[in-house]
Amino acid sequence: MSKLSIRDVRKAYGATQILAGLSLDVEEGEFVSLVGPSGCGKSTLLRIIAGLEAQDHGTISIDGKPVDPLPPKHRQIAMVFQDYALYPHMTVAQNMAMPLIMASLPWHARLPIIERMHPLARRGRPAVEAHILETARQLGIDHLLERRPAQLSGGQRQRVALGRALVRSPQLFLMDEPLSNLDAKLRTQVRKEIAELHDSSKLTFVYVTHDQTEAMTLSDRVAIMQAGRFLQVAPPVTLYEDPDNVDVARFVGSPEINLLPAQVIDQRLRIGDQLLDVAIPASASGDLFVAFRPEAALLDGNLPQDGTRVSGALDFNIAGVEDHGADLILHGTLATEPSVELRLRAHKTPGGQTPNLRVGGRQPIRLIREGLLFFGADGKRLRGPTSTPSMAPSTATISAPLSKKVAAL
Amino acid sequence: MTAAATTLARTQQRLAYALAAPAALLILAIYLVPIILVLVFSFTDFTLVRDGMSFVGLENYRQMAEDENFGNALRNTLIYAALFLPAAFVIPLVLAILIQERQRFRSVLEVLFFLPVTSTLAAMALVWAALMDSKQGIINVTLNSFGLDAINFLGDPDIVLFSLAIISVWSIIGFNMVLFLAGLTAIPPSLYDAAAVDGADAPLDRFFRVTWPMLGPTAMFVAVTSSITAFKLFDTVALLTQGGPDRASEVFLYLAFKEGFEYFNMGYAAAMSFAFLLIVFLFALFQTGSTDRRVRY
Repeated sequence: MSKLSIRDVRKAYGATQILAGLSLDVEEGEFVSLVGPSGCGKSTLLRIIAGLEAQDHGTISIDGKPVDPLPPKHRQIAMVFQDYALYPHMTVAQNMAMPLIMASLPWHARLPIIERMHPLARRGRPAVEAHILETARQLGIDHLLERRPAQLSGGQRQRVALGRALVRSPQLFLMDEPLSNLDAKLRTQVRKEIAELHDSSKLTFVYVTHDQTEAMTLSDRVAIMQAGRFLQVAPPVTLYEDPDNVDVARFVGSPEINLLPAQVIDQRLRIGDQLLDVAIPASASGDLFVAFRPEAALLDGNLPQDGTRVSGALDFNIAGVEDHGADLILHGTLATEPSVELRLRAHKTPGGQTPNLRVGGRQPIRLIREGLLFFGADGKRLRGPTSTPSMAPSTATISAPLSKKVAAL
Repeated sequence: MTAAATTLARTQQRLAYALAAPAALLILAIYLVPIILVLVFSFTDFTLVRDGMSFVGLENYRQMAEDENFGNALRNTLIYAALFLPAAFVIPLVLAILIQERQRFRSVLEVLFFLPVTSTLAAMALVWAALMDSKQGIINVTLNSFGLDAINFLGDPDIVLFSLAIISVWSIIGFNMVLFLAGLTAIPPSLYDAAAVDGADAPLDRFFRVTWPMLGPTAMFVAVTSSITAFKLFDTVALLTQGGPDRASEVFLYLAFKEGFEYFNMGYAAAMSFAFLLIVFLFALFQTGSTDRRVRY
């Protein structure tokens, strides 16, 4: 039985459809991210899971029980908000005590002034304080308990928000872009802390973000959303290496995947004015897109000696070189007619020589066969057995180009 | 510093003074000089019917302490404020919260409640006088038709302060409501979401845990301005009751006005005005000091 089950959830605001019938199962202890551009409905879905908004159609179940009629406080969830939503007039300790007080005291004991002297509130206070101290120690914020949110840094506020969520001992941990208000360095650090929290707490997480790095590094599975639909729900590596459609392929990975318009003619791939002998899925025909990641190209024109299967050499005109330290990102065009823009990645090896890559230069490249992905004109992935070109058993070669220009080497 | 830099600094300094001068002079002429003049007059026997004046020291203030009418006016003002302030604070707050939650008609309701603020209170006071007339007033006619006794709103010494407070509340509701609405709009909606997840989703909990603490600065502002409005009550008294019946509605400012412009005792009126200024100042100071200033990001 899955921890969280979303069944055909739909939501519209007036005539605008936000969620178009979503279904998803999240297993116990799993970390699932909802990723997509702004306006794709990911936050709305999270708010519906939390019970802060009602869906028009469909069911949300937690632990196998439908929770649709339940208010947020009875769903055994905790939520961390983008702006942390700490109560600015309360100290850190009071912020963290809020869910405990609300759950443990009857309404008349929670009224202002009365709360200070009500016997129930007084009796419960030591337990509440102990609970808060324990959680605060876990998160390393026990020295901040008497401060107010205004006196805290962004990272500290973030931790207080986590603390307030944790004291509830939730079944399900919901996070709505919790890192987007932090600077880059802190973001990496808190990201690591969230991963550790997930490992140590064994809780089930649903995490909304527009940052693919967060989603890829934190998640067991990532749900890519667009226009109120799931494009693909899969582990990060699968999304990167084996995307179901062009939108997923383009969304995941930075720099973006290279997408080349191509045609299949006589079991051969034609890119611009060049013909390329590579393995082509049996279902491929006519116009399609061939895609490959920036690192799926060899940057010297030589044939590899280790048996990697590559295409024939293609000429790449270098228009820009970005040195990222560990690797180089090259921008440029493929010397076909018409030309296609490419982004390539060249890894630097310590002590090794950097290939002679300079702006304005021309570099023969070979595409690694296993890195080639085929998409139909409708954007759907073309899979299935590939037909191996008969001409070359281990390497594909450029056959006679259509134009006067021949790819050198 | 080089000579050029010194010259530049001097020029900028001169420019700064020149730019600040008009505002500074206006503040001096409109606020500070009159206050000082009133203070000076309050130590003299200045009157409008005789040329010249002589210094009388604290005589005016001594007279104030003994004056029965002054004590009466002070008491009337405080009773009126005690009637007016709670209503002028709570009714707009409740209305603002109710209107804030509405999707539709919000702007229509805002305009409706704000209308009295835009109208001339002097003209509206006459309308209220007609409504509250002891015999032909529509309120009493209605009461009579239900078999109830007519109420002498403006003629009964025990009721007249109530009636004046009702008129003032009616005229200030819209203004305070707009202030509260502005304060409510500034509360981040995610706080209510967090409160709902934390279990504070019942109306009372929402109000006491989020709304009220977050409204702190707004509430303070409304309380101070409304208090000053209460102490400044004048126009409806002057138009409708002239302090009557039997000085039952003679409030602070109206008494000062009568002393100065009907009995021409400007010196005494100045002393009263200064006392009024002090009381309002102390009251505002106390309110500001006692409010919760914790709400700040």
